[in-house]
Amino acid sequence: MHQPPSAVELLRTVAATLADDVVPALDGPVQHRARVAANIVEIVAREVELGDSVRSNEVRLLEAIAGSDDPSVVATALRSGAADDPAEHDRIRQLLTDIVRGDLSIAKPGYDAWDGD
Amino acid sequence: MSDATSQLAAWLTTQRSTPTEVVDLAPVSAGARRFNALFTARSAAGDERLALTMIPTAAIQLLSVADEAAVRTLAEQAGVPVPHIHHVCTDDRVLGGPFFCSTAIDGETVPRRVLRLVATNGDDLGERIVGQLGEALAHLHAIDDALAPDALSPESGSPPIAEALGQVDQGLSDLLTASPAFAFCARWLERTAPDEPATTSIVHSDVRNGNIIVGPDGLRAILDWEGSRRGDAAEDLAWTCQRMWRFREDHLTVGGLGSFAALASAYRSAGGSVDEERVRWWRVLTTVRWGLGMAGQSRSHLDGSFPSIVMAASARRMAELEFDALQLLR
Repeated sequence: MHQPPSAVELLRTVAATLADDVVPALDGPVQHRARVAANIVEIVAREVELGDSVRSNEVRLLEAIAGSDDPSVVATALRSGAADDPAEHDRIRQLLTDIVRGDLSIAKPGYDAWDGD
Repeated sequence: MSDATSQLAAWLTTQRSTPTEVVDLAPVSAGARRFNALFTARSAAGDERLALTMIPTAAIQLLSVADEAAVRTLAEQAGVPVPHIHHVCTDDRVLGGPFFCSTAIDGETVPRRVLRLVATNGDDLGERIVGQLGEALAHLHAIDDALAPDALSPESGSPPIAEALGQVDQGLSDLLTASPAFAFCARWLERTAPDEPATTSIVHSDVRNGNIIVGPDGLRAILDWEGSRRGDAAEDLAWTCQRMWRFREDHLTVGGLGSFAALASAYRSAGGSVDEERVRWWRVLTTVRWGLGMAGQSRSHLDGSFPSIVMAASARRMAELEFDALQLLR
């Protein structure tokens, strides 16, 4: 067993070093790539931290949509019209939104604060 | 750069039949697809500020520079603000890729700087820019698209709605992991698809905050015409409204600048007609297509055809477009 810092803490340190030290020392396309790198490390840190609970939540939501935890089975059902009925449209749209909120909590926290136009 | 400077000067000298010097050639941006620089062309007639747009390799161009120049000239003649193109070079040997030179126009292009300018000038500048965009798009869409180069037609020969649905279908089958959210949206797009437009138009396909030059007086030019094609005019109206072009100003539908009502009203006043349901359909379609494109970028990284950290990161952005599309289907 390693002594702390944990994997997540190390990733956060890498991200902060990239963002605070490396990015300002660069310019042009290389700076852009370093910024992207910092962002990727942040995403991976959140994925290590939250991934398991987001995935188990996703399984539950997929089953509520079309009775399967396999995204490709659910996608095929939806493409074939499983949500055509207006009531099903609303119910399933909400469940799908909850799945995507889980992905966004890893990829881009805060992005889901929008209710449409 | 000194090499490019002398090559460009020699070429301009031949083109203009007068000795021309290239001064202060300075890159302003280097996208994945094109290289942009500003310079001064100096001759006995005086100094002229020009913008150089070069496509690093003809292999990645969407439209050839000659076809793009032809579209921009049609747009300019129809009253769309476009930097006037002075010279087109299709010969790769001069600068290493095809290029054109257009009038350099001062102003802001970087989205956050555009929004800062609008914020410091008061709200009506944003609405004015949006109105000018509506007017410009109406003029663009009124052009008889038979005048445009053949290259603007899709290779499939399909009409715009069928073409776009085909792209979504292809994008879904190319995904490495299924997307229930986009499958749901694709079904909605298929069953609510509008009729094919009665007439096709020249569609710019990327009019947005980021591809415009603005100043305190408003819209000065619409840039980046390489994605122009024959299509459904409503697509251009929809694309300006996408959430990703608002740069966190989510309450201002058109590019974080102003309202859809201002866009539609100016578009109508300039002779265009707006079918809001059709625009909504195109908003969903282009959101889904953009999200599928993000996944496609990451596949290009994974399969080695375009290895890049930027491309690798793209697939993690697909959830943003899934979320936006689902919100549009409330």
